[in-house]
Amino acid sequence: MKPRKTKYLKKVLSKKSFAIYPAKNHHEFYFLVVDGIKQHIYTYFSHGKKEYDKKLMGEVKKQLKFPTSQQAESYFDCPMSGSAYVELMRKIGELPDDDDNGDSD
Amino acid sequence: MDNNLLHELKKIAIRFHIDPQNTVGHAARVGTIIRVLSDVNKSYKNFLEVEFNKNENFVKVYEKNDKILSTFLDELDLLAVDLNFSSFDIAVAPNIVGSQSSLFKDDVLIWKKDSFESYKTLITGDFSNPKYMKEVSDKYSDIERKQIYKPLFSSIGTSNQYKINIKNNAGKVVRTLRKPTNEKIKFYLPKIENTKKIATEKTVLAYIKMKDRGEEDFDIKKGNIKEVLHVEELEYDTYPFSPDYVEFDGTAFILDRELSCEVSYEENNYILRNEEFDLTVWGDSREEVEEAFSFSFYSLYLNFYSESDNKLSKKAQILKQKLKTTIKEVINETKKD
Repeated sequence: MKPRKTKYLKKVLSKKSFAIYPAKNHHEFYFLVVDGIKQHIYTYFSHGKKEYDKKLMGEVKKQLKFPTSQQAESYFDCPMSGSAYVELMRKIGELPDDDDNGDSD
Repeated sequence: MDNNLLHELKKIAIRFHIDPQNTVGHAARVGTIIRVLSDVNKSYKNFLEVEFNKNENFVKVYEKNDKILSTFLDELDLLAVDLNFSSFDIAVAPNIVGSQSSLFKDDVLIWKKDSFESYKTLITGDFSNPKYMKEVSDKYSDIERKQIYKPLFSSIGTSNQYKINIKNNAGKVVRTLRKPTNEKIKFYLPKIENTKKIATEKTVLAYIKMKDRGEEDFDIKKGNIKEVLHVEELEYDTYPFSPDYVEFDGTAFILDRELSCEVSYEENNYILRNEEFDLTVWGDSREEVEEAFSFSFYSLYLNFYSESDNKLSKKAQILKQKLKTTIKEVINETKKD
């Protein structure tokens, strides 16, 4: 994956279904929220680095459960929307189907 | 000891006459005798050590066998080879005429004899004489001077206590030991700057065969190590991280076991990974990455452990249960205050 500015990455995550909490002492924790339900998909960000190199982009990709780098690139480069990402996670079994979420199980 | 050998030693010995100033008939106090002889012996031993370290051949052997120096010093203990109680004259000499260790043979015997002669010259010199001081300065460093002269000056009492005379074989006083002036004492006993080297550290990976003492924790002290099987220096601090206690921002977690985390160093990043909680964090240093892990674990606690089930997906609820079984106790320092 190509290197990206962390500022940009965080902006994308915030726009595409990820919530940030907590953010303390240069650290940030992003987790996925779908229809108000917290999911088990999350990633860590550090203020210490202004840019994530290929290696760290690869780690973010794994944390966000992207099966391929191409899909991750598409997500961060914007063609893939937040809802498309959620659909992808459902498709690969990471997220439950629409009507199979939270305590409604 | 053979009488002939003793006779030989008497001939080469240093003769001290301890002359107390305020005792009945100038009889020497036992304490004074012990102190003087002990200090002179110490000064002589230190002198030998200094001279030993100036000898390249000895140093080479010492690097292979560090017991060589202590063997030397033991062999060269000063012996009282003659004694006259009435005036407290005592002659001392190391045993350099009897049988010796065969470690170095003739060269060593010559060195031992020469070094004792050198010490005799040193102790019978005029400590206040600039020429003598110059010679000492040329030969010995600050630390070496201090090693040799500190015990020697300690043996010299004040003039109203006792005098130490050094006599020749004929019984004639050749020198009365006197401490130099305070100014000159600074030359012999300089203040040594604390040059203690700060030990640098390195991280090594070691495989050790240890005595099994049936304990859960490993006590890696020398006595428990049977064999070091393999040691490898780590280029980076990439040894595993196994916390059973995590703390972040005033909240501490006591865990029911150690969490297993792998640490790697790739492309200038420390990366720490815990499979069980699917946590991957990174940082520029080992400290940073460990802190990032603590932060992330704390984040899981805030977002999942403390969250009601109806706000969590099924998989997030499983994560919550895993956290509940892993965290034995939560200590919130801010709440405690």
